[in-house]
Amino acid sequence: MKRIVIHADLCQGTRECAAIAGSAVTFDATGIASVGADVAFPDDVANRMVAMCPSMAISTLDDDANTD
Amino acid sequence: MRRRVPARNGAPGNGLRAPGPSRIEAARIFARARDPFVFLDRCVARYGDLYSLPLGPNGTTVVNHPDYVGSWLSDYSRYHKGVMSRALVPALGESTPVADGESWRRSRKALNPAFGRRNLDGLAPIIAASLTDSMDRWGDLADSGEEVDIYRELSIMAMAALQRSMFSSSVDDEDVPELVDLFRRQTTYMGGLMMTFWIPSRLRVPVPGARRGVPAVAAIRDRIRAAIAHRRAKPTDAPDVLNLLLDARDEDTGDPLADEDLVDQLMGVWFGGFDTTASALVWTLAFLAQHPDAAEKLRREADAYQGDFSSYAEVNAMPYAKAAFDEAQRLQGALLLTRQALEDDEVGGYFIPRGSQVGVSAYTLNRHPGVWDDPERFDPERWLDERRDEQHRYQWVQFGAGPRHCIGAGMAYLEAQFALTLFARRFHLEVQPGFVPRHDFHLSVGIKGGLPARIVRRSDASVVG
Repeated sequence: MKRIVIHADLCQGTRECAAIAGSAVTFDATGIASVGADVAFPDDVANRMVAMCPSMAISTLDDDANTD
Repeated sequence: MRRRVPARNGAPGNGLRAPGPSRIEAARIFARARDPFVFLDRCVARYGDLYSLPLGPNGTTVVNHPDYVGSWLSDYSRYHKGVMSRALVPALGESTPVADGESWRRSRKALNPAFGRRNLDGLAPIIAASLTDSMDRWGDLADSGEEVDIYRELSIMAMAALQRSMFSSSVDDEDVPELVDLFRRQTTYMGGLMMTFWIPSRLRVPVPGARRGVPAVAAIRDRIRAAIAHRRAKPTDAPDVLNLLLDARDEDTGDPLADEDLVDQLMGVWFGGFDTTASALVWTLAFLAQHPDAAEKLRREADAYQGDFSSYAEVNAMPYAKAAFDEAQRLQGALLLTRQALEDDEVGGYFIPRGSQVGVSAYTLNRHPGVWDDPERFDPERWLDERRDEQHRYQWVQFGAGPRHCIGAGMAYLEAQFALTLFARRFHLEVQPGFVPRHDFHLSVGIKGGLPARIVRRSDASVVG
C-alpha cells in the first residue's frame, strides 16, 4: 500500500485521479483534488494515479522527499 | 434513465485488422463525401463501431464506442501521440501539443504550473476584465445595428483574454485583430497538414492552406520573439506563461530554454488557448440563438449571478453556462484524436500493430445513438440531470484523457462560462432565418462561413453597457 500527495499548486482539476481512485479523492470549490493524509492505496492504484495525472501533481509519499 | 447500447463489432481475434476501405476505396468515399465529417459518418455507417482507415504508417484503427476507448488513449507508456501530431510541426514547432516522450514531459512540466487551478484562480479577474472590455465593444457593435461575423468577434475576444492572461502586457491589444487573422491562416494550414500527412511525399500533393499559412507561421513566430524581447527589456513579476517559461530550467543541466524552444512552446500555448475556445464558443452561441428556451435559462442564471468573477470558484454559480458549452462542444465534435502504438496491442478483438494508430472521432462518437440520448438534439440538460452521472468514462473525450489531457481545459471553461454569463446579461443574437451551422475543419472545428448575426441589446437588461 502507498500513500500519495497531491500538490495543490499544480492540480489542474482534470479528475483523472478520481477516475482511478473514486471517492477517495475529493475536490474543493476550485476543483483542486486532495486525499486524506492517512489514506493508502494499493501500489498499482497509487502508481496509476501518478502516471495518469496530466498536471504531474501526484507523487507517492516515499518518493516525495524532493518535492514541495 | 436509458440503457447504453453495448459496442457492436465482429471481434474476430486471430490477429486480424478491423475492416475498412482500401486506400482507393477510401479516396472514392472521400471524393463522394467532399467533407471529412461526412466521410467519417459514412465509414461508421458502412463498417460499424470499429474500422480501419489507410492513414499513416500501418494504418489507423478508428473506434466509435466508449467501450473501445481506454488504455490506448490514456496509457502514455504504450501509446504516444505519434505521427498525426508530428505532421503539425511545420505550423507549431516542437511545442507541447505535438511533442512526445522526454521532450513532451519536460515541456509539459514547465507549463503545468501556469494552468494549475490556483494560478487560474489568480487569472480569473484578469480574464473577466478582458471579457468585460470585449462586451463593451460588442455594445458598440449592437448600437451600429449591423450584421457582424460573431466567429471573428469571439476570436478577437478570446485572443485578447489570452494575451492579457498569458502574456500580460508584452503583446499590444491593438495587435489582436491582426493576430486573429494570422492564427486563422495558421490553423487552416494545420488542417491541411493533417489532411495530407498520410499521402506519400513523392506524389508532391500541395498542402491546402500552405501558401498563406507558412508566412503566417513566420509572422507569428516574429511576434513571439518580439514579446520575449519586450519582457526581457521590461521584466515583470506577472504569473503568466511567458515568465514561467523564461524562468524554466532544465532539470539536468540547469540551463534555461533556448530561444527557439521558447518560441515553440509559446506558439503551442497561443494556438491552443485561442482557436479551440473561440470555435467552441461560436457553436455555443449559434445553438443558443436557435434555442430560445435554452437561451432563456442561461439569461436567468446570468441575471441571478451575484458574484464578481474574482476567482475560479465563481464558475460553480454558472452550471447552465457550462452545460450549454459542453452540449455545443458535443455537437461540434472533433475530427480525429489519435495515438500511435509503441507495441503490438488489441482493441475490441482486432490487432493493433506497433507503429499503427488508434483514433476516435468525437464528431461521430458524440452522435452515437447507442451512447447518447436523442443525440442530434441540442439539450444542455443532459449535462445537469442523471444522464451526466450515467456517462461512460470515455463517452466524453473532447479534451482527451490521461497524461495528455488538454492542459488548457480549465482555462477554457473559466473563459467560456464567464463570457457566456457576461454576454447573456446584456445581449442576444439575431441570426438569419434558416441558418444552419455547418462543420468547418481547420484543426479546431469552426462554422463554415462563420456566424453572421446582429448583436442585440436586451431590452430588459439589468446591466447597462
